[in-house]
Amino acid sequence: MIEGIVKQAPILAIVIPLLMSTLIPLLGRKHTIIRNTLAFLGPLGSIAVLSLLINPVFDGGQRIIYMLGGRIPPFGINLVVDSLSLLLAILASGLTLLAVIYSYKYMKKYTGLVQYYALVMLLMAGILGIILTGDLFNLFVFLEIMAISAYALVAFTTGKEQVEAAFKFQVLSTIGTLGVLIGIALLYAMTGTLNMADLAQRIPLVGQSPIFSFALVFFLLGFGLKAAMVPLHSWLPDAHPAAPSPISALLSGVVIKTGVYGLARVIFTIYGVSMVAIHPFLLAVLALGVATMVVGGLMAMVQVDIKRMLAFSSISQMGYILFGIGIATGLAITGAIFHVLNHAIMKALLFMCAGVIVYRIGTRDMSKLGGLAKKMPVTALGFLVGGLAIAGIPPFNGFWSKLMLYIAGFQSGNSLAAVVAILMSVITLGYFLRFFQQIFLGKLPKNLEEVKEAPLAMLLPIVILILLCILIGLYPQVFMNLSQSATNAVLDQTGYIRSVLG
Amino acid sequence: MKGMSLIVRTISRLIVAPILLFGIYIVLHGHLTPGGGFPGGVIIAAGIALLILSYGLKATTKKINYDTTKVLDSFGAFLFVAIASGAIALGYFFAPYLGLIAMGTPAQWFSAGGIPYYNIAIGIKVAGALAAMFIGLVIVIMMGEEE
Amino acid sequence: MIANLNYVMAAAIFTVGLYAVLVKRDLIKIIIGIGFMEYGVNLFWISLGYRTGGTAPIITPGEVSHTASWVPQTTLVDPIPQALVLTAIVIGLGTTVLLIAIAVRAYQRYGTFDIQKMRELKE
Repeated sequence: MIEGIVKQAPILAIVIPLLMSTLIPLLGRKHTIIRNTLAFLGPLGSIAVLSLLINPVFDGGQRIIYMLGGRIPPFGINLVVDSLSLLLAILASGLTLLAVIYSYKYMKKYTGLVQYYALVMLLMAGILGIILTGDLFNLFVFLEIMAISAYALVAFTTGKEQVEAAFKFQVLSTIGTLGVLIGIALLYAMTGTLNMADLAQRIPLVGQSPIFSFALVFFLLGFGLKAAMVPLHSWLPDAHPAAPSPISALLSGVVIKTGVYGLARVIFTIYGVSMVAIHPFLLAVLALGVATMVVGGLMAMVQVDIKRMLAFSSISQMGYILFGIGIATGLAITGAIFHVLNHAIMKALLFMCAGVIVYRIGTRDMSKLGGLAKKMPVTALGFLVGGLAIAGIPPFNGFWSKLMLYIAGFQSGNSLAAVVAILMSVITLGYFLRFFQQIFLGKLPKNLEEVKEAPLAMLLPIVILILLCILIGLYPQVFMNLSQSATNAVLDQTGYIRSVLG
Repeated sequence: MKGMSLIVRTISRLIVAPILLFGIYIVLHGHLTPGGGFPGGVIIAAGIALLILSYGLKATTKKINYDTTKVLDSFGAFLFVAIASGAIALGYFFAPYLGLIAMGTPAQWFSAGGIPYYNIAIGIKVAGALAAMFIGLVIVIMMGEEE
Repeated sequence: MIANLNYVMAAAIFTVGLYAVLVKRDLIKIIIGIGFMEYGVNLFWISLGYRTGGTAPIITPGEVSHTASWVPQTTLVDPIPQALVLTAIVIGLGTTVLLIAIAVRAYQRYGTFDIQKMRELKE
């Protein structure tokens, strides 16, 4: 039995949330308890199935290939679980689990929750599909599954702001996915295959062609839009604040990371660093990363809306990750992957803390708040830990990944960019401390004297995330090793080809 | 939405049943002829849309209401995922299983393994989903008219 | 040039759609623009699979030999882009319906389809 599950684990990780998303509207209409249990079981099942693969993938350094329909690649679609995929997949299902627990109380006042939980499950299935698939067109399909459920979730409460933000989000994001689709079409036209390993094998055989560079630009447009890279970031500060807070946590935590994941897969696995390095493409990613960092950070400073500030801070942190991808040395990519992990945890924590304020007080305007630390000690602690971690202050997790990125920047001779990155960290610390002081310290406004701490179902995910921030900060070596093995997996192009095509 | 004139009503009364039947035919013969679950489901949903346009929403929802379409939508999706999970457990996606349909001889209805099942599931899903989309949009528009 | 006309057409349709999305202020026109962009990409995909003089890629039972070196006798068009475009069309349908649903909601909330007026009403 267990052996059979291990064998089918990659597909089960996607099928379980998909099955839940169909079962919730069928069985969960009448009874809240059934709906909540099913929504809880989806991510839990995925985590359980994926954890069976931890041993062979992380310790054995294996790649697990799952052939859909038993067709041998490159003819069928196949799923590939390597260290990078597994790390991100467990992260995504874990965050979804926390968001579901958080939603039990937070979303209680809304109607149509059957659809809400079904969409969350669909969002998760889409994310897992993007991360686990080994076929480029399949990646596009899952990208659309994820994106469509994300649009619907942003618009879920159908207020004025939500509707406008969702429309903007969807129009821009559709242009992004069409960019990816054109890139895939160009690659297919040149090589006649869609399998990632087969593409990696055939691109050097076709040789140099301007079409490949052209396709690369379209991938940068499409995935860059998903990752909120700077000239294409304008949807994010509208969409992420408008969504319900647990969804904001998921969107900022994992959904925008799929853009970076796609970009990394295209650059490192399909094209290979040597192929990309011919053009100043990586330099462009680096420059855009630095621009993203600066614009996001500067815009975050002047916000009054707490969730909008967090959204701009997300853009700024995505800049760090793109910066790591652009440098493209081993250390830089390790730092970027580690920062993906850390930022997901920190930003989910911060959005959940902001969600407590929205839930208890009903405003996102920071100028109307003050002195809440006495009333909400745990939330205040969460916000402080998240803020310090995101600014890269030593005892917390963000410090280590940022340190790796700085060192990689100096080592590779991009000192100017690294100095900008350090400067932006200082600015991040500045605005987070200022906003912390504004919200949680100082005088408590008269109308907020009755405010209570968040209910238990909302505190539990916050406490778990605080502990994770501290834990990773204290024992970074374990997670650095995981990121290291993920980096090795993504950089090892020949190994990837060999394990898929045999 | 109030519905249309007598001519439209009479014509649609005559042709709605053949349209639905044709949709079901396309769904059931998806593995033999061009078409399949998706086009067949679209045809069925188009028949329902025709009913709504000619007779109005109220008369149509007596036959098939919004909740039914939504349940059909979820049920079709569930059926598809369930069949696929069973097939995956047996080894591959188009596995001939349940003892009902073997790989069979080509061009016979009882052939092609699980594909007819998938087509039926997709047909239910698409018909339900598209009808739900149409009814949902009509309801929203009517809400706007009342205001 | 004539042989490449469909690629030119695909690019033209895509550009028209992009123009509508970027310039028009009416939500419905933007949705139509998105549809145009999708059709442009779909036409591009289909054109990739076309082979001059090719027929439908249907192989009858007597024709196939199950060896690796078997090649069909007649020129067939590439079936993979057709399958992919079908998928892309279905996804496009889902996207369009969701966009229309959101646009209708926006009309209910703001009483207009004009983006400019919506922005004024929000502030």
